[in-house]
Amino acid sequence: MRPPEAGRADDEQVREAGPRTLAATAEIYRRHAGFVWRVVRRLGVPDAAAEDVMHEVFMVVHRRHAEYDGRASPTTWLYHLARGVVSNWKRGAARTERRIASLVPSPPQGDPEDDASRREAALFVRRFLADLDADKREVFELVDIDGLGVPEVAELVGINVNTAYSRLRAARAAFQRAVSRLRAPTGAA
Amino acid sequence: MSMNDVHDLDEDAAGLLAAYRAEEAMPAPTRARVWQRIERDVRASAAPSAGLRPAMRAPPRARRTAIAVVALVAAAGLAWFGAQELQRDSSPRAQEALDSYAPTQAPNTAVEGHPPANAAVPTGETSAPAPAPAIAPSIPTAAPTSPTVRDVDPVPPSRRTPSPREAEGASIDQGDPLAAEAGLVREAQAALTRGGAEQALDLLSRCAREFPRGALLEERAALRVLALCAAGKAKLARREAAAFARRHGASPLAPRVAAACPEVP
Repeated sequence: MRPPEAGRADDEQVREAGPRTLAATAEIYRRHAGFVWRVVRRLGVPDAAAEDVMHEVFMVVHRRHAEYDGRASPTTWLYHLARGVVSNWKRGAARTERRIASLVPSPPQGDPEDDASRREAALFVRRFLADLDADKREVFELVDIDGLGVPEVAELVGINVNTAYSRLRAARAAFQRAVSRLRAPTGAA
Repeated sequence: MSMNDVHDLDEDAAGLLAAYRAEEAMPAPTRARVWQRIERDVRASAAPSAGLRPAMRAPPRARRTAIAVVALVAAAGLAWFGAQELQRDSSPRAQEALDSYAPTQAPNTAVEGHPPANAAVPTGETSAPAPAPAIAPSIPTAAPTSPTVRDVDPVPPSRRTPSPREAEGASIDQGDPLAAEAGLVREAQAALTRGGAEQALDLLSRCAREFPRGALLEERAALRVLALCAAGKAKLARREAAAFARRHGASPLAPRVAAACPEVP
């Protein structure tokens, strides 16, 4: 599965973009904001706080771009930065107020063509992921939802490539079984 | 264990994941709003150092004082300007709260005194009470090639602050091709949001003429499909949607484009 947003050529562009310029940060944002957003959301940051966290992640990106040596892929670098920022956010007592505020549902995003079946499908996947073992879930999400390669995910998570394949295989098998169960009643009806 | 041992998901499973991916995608207004804040803060932080100073080095005290004075003057000027022109609450907190719920605001420029090109980021959302098209032209705002020139501007903030109308018009940056292209795409999105599908198509055509090898080809193609559909050119929209699927099948925009103009039996 190809990465939905970033390919190798894009990554080269990110590496070659000058350090600490707004243009470089803009390029990283353009290529990878979607990925970081998904990571941030999956790490448990609610709607109301996600914008703040995204802002913080990319401010860190801007400040630390010069430190990025290009040895790891941009997604790996961003993943770790995002995790750090989310971790700080979770710890921050000052955020409590906002976290409470975040319980207020966010306004609808206004997608008139969003149909019910897509929402149902997404809900199904969300439930599946919630029940999946955390280790397998991380690999499955990064590979099958974010489109990263297994070796990159192994590096990013800090596990052996074979272990990553093993977790991916188990997660896919579980997902496939869940999908089969979903199909069964429909077929019988 | 190797790649060969890992089976691909079947079509249904892949479809469910695609739906999930689309649902979880970063909404376009959010994307624009976050970038607006980043750009604003980066410019604000770069301004004192003219973009040349290493990140961690603090400016000298004299400069800090000067910056503080300039910031205060800028804030006062903008507060006055805001009261006169916008007649809205100038409290940053209130503004931030507004921003977070209305994807239509120009950024609060009172602190850094940098109103210009970036002010128009989500022009698409600026004047649109109607929901923005869910298409996500993933455009960061105008990104100057060098922050050193623009970030330090001796022109008093009160003169530099554009009216809301000017801010809207300022979305096209003349200096940076990416920014200019992004400006046109944002304007097209804004036009579409306002119901001006033909105008959006004109802007996208202009964009195609001026930036035939632009950086936002994918976003432009996606937006064009929506605009064509909104303009009643359903056949052409579907044809271009099919072309989009061929060229950008892995794009996060693909599901949205595919669903943009369904064939009515």
